[in-house]
Amino acid sequence: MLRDVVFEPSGTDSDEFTVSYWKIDPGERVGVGGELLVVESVEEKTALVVPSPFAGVLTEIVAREEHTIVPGALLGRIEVS
Amino acid sequence: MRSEPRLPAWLTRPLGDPARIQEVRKTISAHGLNTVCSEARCPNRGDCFGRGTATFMILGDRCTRDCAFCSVGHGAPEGPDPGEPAAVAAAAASLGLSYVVVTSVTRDDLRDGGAASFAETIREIRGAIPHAGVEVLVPDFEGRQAAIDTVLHGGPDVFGHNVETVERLYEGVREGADYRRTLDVLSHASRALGTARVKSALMLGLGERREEIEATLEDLRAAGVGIVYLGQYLRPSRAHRPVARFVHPDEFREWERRARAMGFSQVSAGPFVRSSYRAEETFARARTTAPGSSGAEKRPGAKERERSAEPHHA
Repeated sequence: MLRDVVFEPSGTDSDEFTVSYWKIDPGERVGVGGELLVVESVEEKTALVVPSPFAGVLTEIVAREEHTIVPGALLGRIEVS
Repeated sequence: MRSEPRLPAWLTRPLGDPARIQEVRKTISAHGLNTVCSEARCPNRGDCFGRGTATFMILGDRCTRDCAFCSVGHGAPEGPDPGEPAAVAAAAASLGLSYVVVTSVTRDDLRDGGAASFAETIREIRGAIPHAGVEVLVPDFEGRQAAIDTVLHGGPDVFGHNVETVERLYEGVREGADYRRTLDVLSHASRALGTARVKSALMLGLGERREEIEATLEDLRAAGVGIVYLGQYLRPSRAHRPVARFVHPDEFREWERRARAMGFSQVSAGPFVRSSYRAEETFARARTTAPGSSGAEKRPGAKERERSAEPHHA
């Protein structure tokens, strides 16, 4: 089943982030909590690693590097195993 | 397009535990309090809130100064809330804290700079959580020694006042403050409390030179500071002073070694180090590694605190 990965930066106060880079490529497998991508926000003063909410195979990257994203944004899709 | 350079890899960290973060936020909010963690957009807040800790910021959320590195709001503040000291103690007890750090906005509008509120907050915390350590991080009180004495009479375990940057950069970074006055505040506290319980912090990456960092550390030691923290300056918004450079973790380790060689009893240095970050761990180390010193290995009793807080004149 294909599941959307939505950006939910719990515990942060920022409403705008920039995608720095993905830590895995489409076709690669990831576990729950595995590192998916890194985002940045000036207001957070740090880069944050976004964990995977699902176990499965990353099939699509929607939020590409350098893109600006907001909470609730679609990051990509995972084929859940 | 990206308008900022990418942060170096060593400034990457995981998102905090959302459930615990929400719990801390709800507790703080339910008591009508502020934290410097949120107001200053501290990069550690996810980590600290996730571990159930926070640094309380008393005397409102508006500062009478407007430092170029800080995102705490500024403007004309309201009068102190008389219920705030008890609210801080209740929130700290509710969060199960065993070490409480209390700081404030700068209140140049108040006759005592808010010193009485610090003392009262310490007393309330002592009443609510007798076993807890209490650390204060105070403004410079415009150098008024009577205000510093008022705080010391409250009986903090650790007295902190941050030098923030090197002397040359005060103008432009810390408007309204004075480097020598900050050293005097620390010196006065050290004469009363002892070196091992006086703390200061310095941000790197604001444009300071190596020899200036060295000189600042020497000045802090000469002022009687025993605990020093060094961390990376990170600007809280694009309207704030830009980061001059990102200091590599290896350089922070060098500064840590250098500071220890200078005689600081407790040193914490690293990109994410902030003056209250994991302060409870430094305090615990100080208690176990400084036997026989006048430091934090043993909290003084009330009478002892009264005595130790008497003004000393060199």
